[in-house]
Amino acid sequence: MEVIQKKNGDVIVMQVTGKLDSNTSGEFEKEIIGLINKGENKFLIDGSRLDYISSAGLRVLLFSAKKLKASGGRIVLSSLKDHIREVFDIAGFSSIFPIYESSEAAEQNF
Amino acid sequence: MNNSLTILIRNEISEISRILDLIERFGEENNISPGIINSLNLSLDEIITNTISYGYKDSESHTICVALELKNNVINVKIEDDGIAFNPLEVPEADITKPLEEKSIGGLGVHLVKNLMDSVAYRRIENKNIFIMNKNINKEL
Repeated sequence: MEVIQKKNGDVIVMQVTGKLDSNTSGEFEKEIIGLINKGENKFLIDGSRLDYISSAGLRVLLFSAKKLKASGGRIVLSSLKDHIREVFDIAGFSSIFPIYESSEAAEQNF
Repeated sequence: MNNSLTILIRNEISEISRILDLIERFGEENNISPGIINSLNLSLDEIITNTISYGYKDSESHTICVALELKNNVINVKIEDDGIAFNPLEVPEADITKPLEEKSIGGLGVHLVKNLMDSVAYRRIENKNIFIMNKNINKEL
């Protein structure tokens, strides 16, 4: 798992490459919670290179979104591969996270 | 063409990625679609992560056995461990319709497994937990 992070305006864009599973989610959690604690509150997770997510990865997204809710922030996702989107649908995460076709569309709708 | 695969791992979270890689290769060798392989891998990951995290009361090294067989377009998976008796199917399933504030991750893994696989079953035989899953490889969700 690798995260490439950049800031566009006030939106933090995180492109996650590889797997978000019980091995790697802790690292991702540290990174995103660190940013939230610094006051960042708009996050776009670019899923174009995300190959795999388990409930461990979903847990980090849920925990972060709950934390952000208090400060009026949010997390949106873009470019999820079909099999990842399927996991989001089954988990009921598609109804709590806005998911866009592309990162451009996501940024426009922030 | 290799129609069956048996993998033995130690009860350590870092071992799971080894299973996922081997099953990806098994999928490629047997022309199984990446979507089906993802469903299989995710289901195995959820069940085994649970076993490793909560299944052992000692600090000894234990072996978990994963056996896969592809027969008549159906993949049969058997996970066997010698951890404490635990039936994942008895875990209350996550209510996925809850809004963000009330949503919790508990029971989500099992919910995913039940929905990604065609059938799942649990048995306790001679101090072993045996978890069985089936998936028809021609049936995408």
